[in-house]
Amino acid sequence: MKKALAILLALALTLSFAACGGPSSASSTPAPASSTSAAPASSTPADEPSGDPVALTFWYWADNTDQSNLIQQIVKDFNESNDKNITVTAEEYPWDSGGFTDSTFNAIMGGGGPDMSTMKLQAGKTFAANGLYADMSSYVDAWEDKAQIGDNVWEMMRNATGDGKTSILPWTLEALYVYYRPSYFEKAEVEVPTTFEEFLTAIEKCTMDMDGDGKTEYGFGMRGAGGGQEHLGNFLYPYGATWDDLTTPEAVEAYKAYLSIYQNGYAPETAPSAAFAELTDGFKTGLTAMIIHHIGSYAQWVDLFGDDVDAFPVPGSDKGQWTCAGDTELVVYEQCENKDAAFEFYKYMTVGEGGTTWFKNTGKGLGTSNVKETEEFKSNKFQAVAAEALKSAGVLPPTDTLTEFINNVWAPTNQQALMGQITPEEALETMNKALHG
Amino acid sequence: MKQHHTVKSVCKTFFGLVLPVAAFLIFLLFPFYWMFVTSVKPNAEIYANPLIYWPREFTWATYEKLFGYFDFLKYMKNSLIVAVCTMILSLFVSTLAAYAFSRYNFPGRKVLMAVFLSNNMFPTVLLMIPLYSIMRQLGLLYTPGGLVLAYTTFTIPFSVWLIQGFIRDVPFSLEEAALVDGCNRVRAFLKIFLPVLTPCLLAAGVYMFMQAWNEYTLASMFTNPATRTIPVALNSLIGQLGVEWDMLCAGGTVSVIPVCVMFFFAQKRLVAGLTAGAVKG
Repeated sequence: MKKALAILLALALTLSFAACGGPSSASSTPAPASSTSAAPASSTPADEPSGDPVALTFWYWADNTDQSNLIQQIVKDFNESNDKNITVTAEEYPWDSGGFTDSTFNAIMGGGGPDMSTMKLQAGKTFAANGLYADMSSYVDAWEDKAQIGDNVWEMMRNATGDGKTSILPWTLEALYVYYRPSYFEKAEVEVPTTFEEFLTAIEKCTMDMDGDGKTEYGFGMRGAGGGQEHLGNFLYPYGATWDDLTTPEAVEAYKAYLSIYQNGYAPETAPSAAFAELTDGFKTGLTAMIIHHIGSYAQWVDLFGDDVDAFPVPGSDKGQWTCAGDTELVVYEQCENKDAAFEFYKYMTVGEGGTTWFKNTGKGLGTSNVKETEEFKSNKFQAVAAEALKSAGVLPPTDTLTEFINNVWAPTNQQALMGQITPEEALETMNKALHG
Repeated sequence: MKQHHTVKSVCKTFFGLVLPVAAFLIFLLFPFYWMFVTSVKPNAEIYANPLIYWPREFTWATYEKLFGYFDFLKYMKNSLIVAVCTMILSLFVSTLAAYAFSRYNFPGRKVLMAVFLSNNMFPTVLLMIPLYSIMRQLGLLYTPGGLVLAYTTFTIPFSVWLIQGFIRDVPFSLEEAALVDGCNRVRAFLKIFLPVLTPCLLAAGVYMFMQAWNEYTLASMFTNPATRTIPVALNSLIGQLGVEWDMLCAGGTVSVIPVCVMFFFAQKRLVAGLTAGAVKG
């Protein structure tokens, strides 16, 4: 028995080493170091490609399994249709609440990583400061379709890195707006708000028992934790405040209005800890009458509520209006040895067939002509609201400490303020310091 | 009088033992129950308000998607390979190292032990970039072997200390008796020592397996879509815009099964080994 155990141990050890080595050769991914080398013979493009074969790796995150499949399909189509002999290998990595950018950063710093990836503006400075992005300014300037994307968008991209270079390439911009349940509005006898004051009144009036079960439904799905900082901007500007200084009297007044929604019971009790999942779950279950989100979620609301869901831009006042643009960009890394090929892929993903397919399936895009021509754009009422919202859209100031503010300061500080543990002034002081140093 | 005593005893057992244990079990098992029922609910019932505690309509579509389109078996296979290899490699190295540290007196022994321990003082993220770089240089990046090696950097030091503590309690006279009876060191180790160590090795093995099975941070860096393990695969179901609760819960339910099965058998062996060890000792 003991002898058998010893033999079994030795056998298992041998097998384990064999097993460890096995799948490496079966890996579908070329090692990052060789990612720009010649493409595999089996992936020859169909339309008599010209030039030397080029292989690129593209890392991305997907918001669900359908999107994952979609991106793989788009990349496959690109590989088969491009006439420059480019083969892109798309590898999915989890979004991991923003951990995607950390993983990518670590991989590149460790000598590996992709040639291109999806990216968020908020991570722009960290990557740029370490010289990881390729400067794509010359490619963008020479691009005949550059004008299809608004100047304000290119400006936003340049500002995100802080070095004035166009290193981040826009892919999808999703301005935040308000989703609401028309049946709730009807029951609460409120009209679609056109001013910020009306918006606050609608929140108050929609806090009532909507379905007759004896429990109160809430007017507003407040995102007090992760990602909720984007919604704060919707409140700041109508009061005359801006992101540049959160300690002004206007900012304090705006923040008090924001806090009062929770403190007066117009938002669910879970608001201080609510991130995206809690926000959407509240709306899905009919617990909330309104939430702020972007075009990315319209399909699930229509699936769930049919005609009983509509949208309007977050109203402003005569002092100002602002809404955050949820963003996903594409970047080319400095280590990419064939930036021409990478930019070809970018063009395909925006104004090319890839961009069109992406829009048709997700409703996301940049409003380029290929997108506007689709029936999906013309027949979708949410696209019109999104386009309207985009006019007042911006991003949080891309300071050096923005990531720190978003990841570590916003949620705990806002939670304390919502719970009344610190004053609005103290909370804003902390946030301002974290954001601007 | 006797009947009164019996009723009192039953009440005492019920309120003192059965009820608290039942309450504890409900507390313990409810998340697993909820995970399972969420995985077999249609989408509308998952988000129903008020909550639906037992599905009105069972659907296995999520599992079909999980094993079909999502190819969850691939991730399970990857996780199993990594976890088993980590366990075997760590046990092999740790047992020998712990034996040497316990039974031999050599210069630098204490320093080496301290160095082993110091490894666990560093947070995992701190070692990410260096390990990534090493794996890349060795050509182990995106292979299960790389992940196994990365895991052993954490499991081996811990296990060495764990096993060494157990070995110290095993009387040296056992081996001496074997040596006197004609065994050499290796034979004494395999024939006498190893069986006594079984319960400890099982405990350490279960710990290593669990570590490797559940680990996320390193797996997210050192694997690619072909070699991805369960935690990373499940995490990809949590997107920026939503969580696929049905798939996540189905994946969670399935991934719990091998661990439960392993514990079921390990527990029996663990208890048997402990008893045997005590008698022999």
